Amino acid sequence: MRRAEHGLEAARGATLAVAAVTAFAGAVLGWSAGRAGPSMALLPAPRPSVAPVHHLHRPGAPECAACHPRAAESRWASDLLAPTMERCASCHADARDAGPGAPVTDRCRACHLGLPEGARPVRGDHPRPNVRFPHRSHWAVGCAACHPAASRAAPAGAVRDVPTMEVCHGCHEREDRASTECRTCHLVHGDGRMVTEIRGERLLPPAWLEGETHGEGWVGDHARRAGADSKRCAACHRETFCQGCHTGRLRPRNVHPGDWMSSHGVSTRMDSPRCRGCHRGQSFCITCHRRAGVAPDSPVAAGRGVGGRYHGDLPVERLCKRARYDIAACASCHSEGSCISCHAAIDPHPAGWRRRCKPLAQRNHRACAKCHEGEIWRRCE
Amino acid sequence: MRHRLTLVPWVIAGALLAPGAGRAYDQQISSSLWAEGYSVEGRDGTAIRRRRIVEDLHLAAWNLLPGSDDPYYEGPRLSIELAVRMDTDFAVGATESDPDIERSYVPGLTPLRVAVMLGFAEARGLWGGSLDLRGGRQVRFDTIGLLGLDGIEARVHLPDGLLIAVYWGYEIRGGDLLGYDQLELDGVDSGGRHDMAADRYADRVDPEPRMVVGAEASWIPRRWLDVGAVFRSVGLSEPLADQRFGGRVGLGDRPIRGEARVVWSPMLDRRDDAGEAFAEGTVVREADVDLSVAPHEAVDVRAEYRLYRPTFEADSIFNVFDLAPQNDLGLRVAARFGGSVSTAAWGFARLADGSGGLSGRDDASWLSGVGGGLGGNYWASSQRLSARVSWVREWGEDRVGAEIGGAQGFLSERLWVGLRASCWHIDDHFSERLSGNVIGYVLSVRFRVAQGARVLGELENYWGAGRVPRFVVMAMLQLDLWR
Repeated sequence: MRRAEHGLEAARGATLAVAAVTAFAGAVLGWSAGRAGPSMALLPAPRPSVAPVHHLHRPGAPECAACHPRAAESRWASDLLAPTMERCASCHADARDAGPGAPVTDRCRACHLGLPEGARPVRGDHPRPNVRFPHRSHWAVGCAACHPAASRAAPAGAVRDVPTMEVCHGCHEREDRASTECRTCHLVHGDGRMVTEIRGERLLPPAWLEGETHGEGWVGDHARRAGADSKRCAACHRETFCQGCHTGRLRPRNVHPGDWMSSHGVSTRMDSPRCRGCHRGQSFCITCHRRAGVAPDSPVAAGRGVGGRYHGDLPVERLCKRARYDIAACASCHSEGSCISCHAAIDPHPAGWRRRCKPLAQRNHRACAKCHEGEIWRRCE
Repeated sequence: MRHRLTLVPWVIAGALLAPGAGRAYDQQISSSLWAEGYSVEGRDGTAIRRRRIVEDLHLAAWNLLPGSDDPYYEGPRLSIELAVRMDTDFAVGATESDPDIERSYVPGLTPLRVAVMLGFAEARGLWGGSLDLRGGRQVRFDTIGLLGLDGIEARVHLPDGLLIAVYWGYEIRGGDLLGYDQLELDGVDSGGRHDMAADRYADRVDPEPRMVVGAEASWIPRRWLDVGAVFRSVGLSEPLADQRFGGRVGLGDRPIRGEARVVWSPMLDRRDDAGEAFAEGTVVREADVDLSVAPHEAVDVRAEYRLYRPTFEADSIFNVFDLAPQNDLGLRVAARFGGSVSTAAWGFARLADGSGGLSGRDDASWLSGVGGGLGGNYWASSQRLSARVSWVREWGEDRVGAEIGGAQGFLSERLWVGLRASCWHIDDHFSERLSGNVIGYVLSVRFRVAQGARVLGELENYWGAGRVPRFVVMAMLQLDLWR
């Protein structure tokens, strides 16, 4: 016993040390991670070759469509809607004379930043957005609703002038303007599920949408959400994903800590509701426990001469107390038959059972008949 | 009738996928082959070996209707899915699985199981987008929990976020041909197993299929309101019917939201006055009440209450034992930093009715368990880190320890090398042999051979707690082909 207490103290000390390191590392990493803006995976930042010019065209400037005429008909987020040189030249007379071989002037460099002498302007880098966004469906909303920086009189600077998901969702759900299903905006696989990993970045439900989700501890907490709205889960997960854990292929490590095979006894007694989400005690657990000689009716244990009670010299009274609170743990080793062998002499029913048992005995005689003979309901009050 | 039901999707699939059908559709063929080997010590120290190989094969085809593969297609969609699993353990000897060898036979142990995990045809977006139909082997999940179903389900989407679902069929049971038992109601030894010697294990063999009917109504008009009610009956004949009811309500949106859920079963107390039984709580099997507050956009605090009463199938005697529910009070704080770091701290107290025993001695206490923990993980495109510590004490037993792990990607994330170390102290009152400190590590290597092809190898090693060092080796080959 002293060895166990000493071990416990040592483990507590180690645990506290690891907790401190974890908290410190979390704080440092968190500080460095900063706040999240629009997802770089969904809307990679473009690197335009021209200077920010939106503020120079306002106020009193032409409508957005004057420079971005294709936006009104655009179906795809990947459509390049930036104006062509010809489009700029329709207003800027000096741009009309620009062309191959024309001298590069400061006037050119006002838009084409850092353009060397004799060089031709190169097209900027506009990575393909990983969303579904038809500008034509949003035309009536007005450009400034999603691109507010473009409508300001001041330079936009380094601001990524694209909306966050919260902005999109807020508008979609208002008065049911548009569907809020994930697939409305996000790329999907052939089966309709969302593409959730793009260039190594995971797309997770944002906190403002679903509360605390998919972070640390989510595995132990997801049942509540999934039970309330499994359709939402199905936007990203197929049933085979759920079955990967719930129908017990091989143990997922984020649920089963190290050395689980040898040390799961204590954990399962503490957490049996979680275990029962994936494991059926009277087949999955009991079969292995019979094989290991732990179950009381294990023929293997009897053959090796190690049958009998597994839980050593623990007083029966204490075992009964625990069984009241979690009989599922008992059912991982004890079949109904092995319970009957003792409870034939010890009444297992709750207080006042005789006043309540009649409806059960009359309706479901099979359960009663496992222990009682004859018309048991006659013994009920 | 039952087998005819499961045939329906395959008849449809045959017609749609017949050679020459010439339609464009998305299809996936994926296969996961897992091999795992380890030994655990039996009660007398004898090594019990496991040499498992598990093969999962998944075939699916979506968007079977012409034109439905267009990204902006809004009409009905048709799909089929089939998932088959072969689970074999080469270490299970013939003497252990042969009922005629009485001294070594382990009831319920079989060296090979083949199961159809899924097999359904689904039509979505019928009737102007309002109706979804699905028939075949499937899994349902709702407020009551998981259900393995061989049957049909219809979902009707009504305006204002109202959803009505009804389903009918049979429960998937381990004893069925190509069935599995993980989602079968618990409570009777080995469930509906047919492969046991019926003459010798008559009490363990229940060949009757269990019919299931159920309905679900859900109303989620806005993010701040969520109301649902569920009914499910497994087994239609009254003596064996497991009837469950569930209800939930969620109110509020960040920064404050409250949620409540309750699942009850009249089977647990069949007195004539059902209202009285409900009021006394004797029929309540699960109940949750949560209050979430977000003091900051990246921080969530949740206070929670959980009630849990183990419940078994209607034919099991475990339901009629003197049972007290587990009552847990918990507090959880979670914080996220940017998109890559999440942390959480939690604690709980398990309440007893004055007969608890937190210390493990013969005391009478209002507490039977307490615990807490702290964890965090960091996810970047080529790095993963995680750390967790926890301590739980219940009925005098302790589990305290920590795990730290990480993985680093190489070769443009084609190769991943991971290491996880753990240290646990276990105080097991049931077995002195299993008590003590355990230290170990998991070394893993994952390599993407080609697009859609991955291999994984893992080695686990643990030592301590007065036992010989334990090793687990695991390998996996995963193929995932899309068209």
